[in-house]
Amino acid sequence: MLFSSSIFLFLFLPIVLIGYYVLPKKLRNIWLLITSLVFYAWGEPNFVFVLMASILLNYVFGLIIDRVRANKKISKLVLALMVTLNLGLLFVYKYLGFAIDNLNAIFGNVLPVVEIVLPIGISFFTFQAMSYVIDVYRGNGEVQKNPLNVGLYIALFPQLVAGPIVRYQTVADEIKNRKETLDDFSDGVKRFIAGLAKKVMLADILSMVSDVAYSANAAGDGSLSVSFAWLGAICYAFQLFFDFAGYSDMAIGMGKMFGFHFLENFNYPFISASVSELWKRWHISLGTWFRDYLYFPLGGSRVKTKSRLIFNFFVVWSLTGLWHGASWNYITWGLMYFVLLTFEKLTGIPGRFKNKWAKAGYRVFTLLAFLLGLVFVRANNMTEAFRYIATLFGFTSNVLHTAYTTYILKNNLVLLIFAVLLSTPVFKILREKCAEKPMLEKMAKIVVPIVYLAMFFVSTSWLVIGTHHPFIYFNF
Amino acid sequence: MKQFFKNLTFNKICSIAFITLFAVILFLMAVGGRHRVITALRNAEGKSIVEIKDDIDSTYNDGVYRKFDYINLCGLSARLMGMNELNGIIKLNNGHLSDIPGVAEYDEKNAEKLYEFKTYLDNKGIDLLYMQVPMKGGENSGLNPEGRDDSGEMLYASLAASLEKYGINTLNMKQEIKESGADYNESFYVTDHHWTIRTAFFAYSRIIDFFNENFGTFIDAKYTDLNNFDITMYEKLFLGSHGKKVGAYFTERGMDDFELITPKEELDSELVFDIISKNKVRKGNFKEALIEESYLEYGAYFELNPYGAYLGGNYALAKITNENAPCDKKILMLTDSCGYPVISFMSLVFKEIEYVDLRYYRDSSFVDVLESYDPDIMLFAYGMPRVLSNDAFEFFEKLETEPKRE
Repeated sequence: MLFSSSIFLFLFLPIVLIGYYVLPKKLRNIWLLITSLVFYAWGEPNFVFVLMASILLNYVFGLIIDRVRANKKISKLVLALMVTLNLGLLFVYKYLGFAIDNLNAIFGNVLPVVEIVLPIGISFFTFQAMSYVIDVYRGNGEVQKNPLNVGLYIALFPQLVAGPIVRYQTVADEIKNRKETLDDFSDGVKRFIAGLAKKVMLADILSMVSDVAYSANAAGDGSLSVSFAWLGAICYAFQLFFDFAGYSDMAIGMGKMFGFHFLENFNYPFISASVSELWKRWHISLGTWFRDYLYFPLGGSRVKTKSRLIFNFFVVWSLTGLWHGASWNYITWGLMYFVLLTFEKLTGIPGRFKNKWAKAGYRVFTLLAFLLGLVFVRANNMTEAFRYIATLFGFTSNVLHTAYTTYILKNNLVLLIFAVLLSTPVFKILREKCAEKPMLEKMAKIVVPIVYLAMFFVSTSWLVIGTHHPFIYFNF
Repeated sequence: MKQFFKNLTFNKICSIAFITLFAVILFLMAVGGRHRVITALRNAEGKSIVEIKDDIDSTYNDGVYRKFDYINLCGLSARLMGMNELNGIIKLNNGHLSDIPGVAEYDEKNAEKLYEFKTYLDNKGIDLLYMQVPMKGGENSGLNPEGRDDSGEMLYASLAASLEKYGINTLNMKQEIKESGADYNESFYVTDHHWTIRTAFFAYSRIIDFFNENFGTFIDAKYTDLNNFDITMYEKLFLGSHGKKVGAYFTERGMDDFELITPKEELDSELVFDIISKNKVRKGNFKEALIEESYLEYGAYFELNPYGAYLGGNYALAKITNENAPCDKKILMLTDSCGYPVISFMSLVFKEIEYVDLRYYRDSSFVDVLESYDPDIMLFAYGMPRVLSNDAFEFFEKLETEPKRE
């Protein structure tokens, strides 16, 4: 079930909210778990058992880890087994086909080709489940004796299929003791509406521009002009950002409606001064997951040799790429970040820059690198990705510009302006300025909710008209 | 409770008001859409859980409560954001709505098939007229936004050239309208792909002129004089097929006026409208037999199609008989919806008109229909989308592909 579907908005969500607040407190978690399983089963009836198996597996591992905690050797062994089983599950569903394809390419057709359907959100819930056991192992959260609570943590519908990857230590306490407040609920609704608007009004509409550009590139008939290739690449960057940030906003907002406080997943990544900063602001929950559960255990940056540091970066970024998808495109994308981040780490650039123009230039470079990296994410294969990049820089025989680019740009200009503004903290700063003046603050208290309700109606109208509503991160 | 009211700050009041409004909206939407869930559950017998789920999903997502208000809102918001395209529809420079134009290459095979068919008709002594129905926009119209290529005009002109090359009698309505001094770009409904009823009437009059000049008919000019017809104006009644996709406010020109043109008493006649493919017969004067007046009611803009008031719908095969007609020639017409008003007017002057809509007709080949009907004149009236379809010129084969819903 998609958040941006009328069945979710006008049937599922009202039922869950009414049930939640009508039921006594002790039944609320059970209600949330049942409805979360229904939410998952609605889209993936068969794979709900995979999800339940993951819950059960990690619940048991949590109990075992808690029991053998005193014996470091055994607990490490159990932890290793847990990681192997979780990653094994992920491997079978997400990477087995890719692995067989590559083995067959190297050794001839030695293995039968398998077509395995990817359960939606498996990368998210697997990482979240592993976070539970690791946090229990590290003493960062209490073990849950009640399997329903583990189920709720892993399967809670707002973050189940596309994150943010909620760390167990973040919500361990709230699973048992949380307080739903009026202010939280109101903020949650606003956050949800903001997310819906980002998704439906920006990501979905701009996706139509990027789709045209990438389809023309895939056709390989030279019909993609250089200017339209740039427009398509920029629109795809905005699409991806608002698709995922919008989804995260909706998840955080719904969490608040039920009294949960998930951590932020995005923090204006496009204003970053460096690639390293961009990754601290983009998909924060994934970045911190890899940092805390992989990079730090590998030794992080406090290692004795540069080669070890480079190795650590290599492992983290190739796996980050692979996490996003089983293809060489994603691995290349991850390795591109390995190169860039290693470069920044070893040279101290851009921190070493004193000149403001050099700093500004590096900001542009950061955005450009991000944009080019996304070509590998969006293109169907490596050939198409390189062809697209070649077109961007005029290395193909494609024309420089056609009136079509101007037309499409004009058609989407207002949305692009909003996309740029919402990628920066302009509105946040404006709100803070208002808060300094009591009169303005009071007015904002009245006007802002009206604006949000208007946004809700308009977003719903775009949803109803049935344009293009893909959720990119479902596939990761 | 007292404590609650004591702690009630301005912020809290705003929060409560906001949550209440949001809850009311969700509640109304949920309650408004309940019957779709109930219907899906009522039809659940013999279905698996997954099938029931899919039923609920599709019916709920397709039929959101107050869906049309949302479509209007979406169109308005797109217009306010300066968007020129929405949901597969483009706004032309004169505010008219049209399908987003495509770029296609002209293929002469349809003209060749038509020539083959003409040869067949010549052998049977049946006269043939191909009426080229015009279309909106086009690359030289100045109406298409710069940057949006449109090969429609090229295709139209290429077909006209092919028809001339093969010696097929042709009525080029685009040329005819322009030569008449009428505003060609306003010959169509703003929110629809069809020509207006007034333009269709003009086409009818030109067909009659052509028949008189070339096919030996002697039809009095009074039958094509608009003064002998009543024109009932329905202001802002019509939201065409394009408008239904983007709402009434996407174009600043809003909804269309609709003119119902019907014969005055002196021209009117008793007609029998035999909808063969439906086993249904309607009898009476022009209005009673051919006009579906329920399509002309205000208030159901998204559900009703006033253009369809002429003949009352899309039928695969139908025949209109007029025993008092001034001309006793039998006409067979191969057409789509653009021809429906033309057929209606022609029924006033010809004893029999049978028409086939190959979008729906699957019972036999078109030639089978022709042989059994044995017409004097064969008339084509295809809109441009139909011209470009795969099966429009398959006269000798029974079409097997799934027909469109009638």
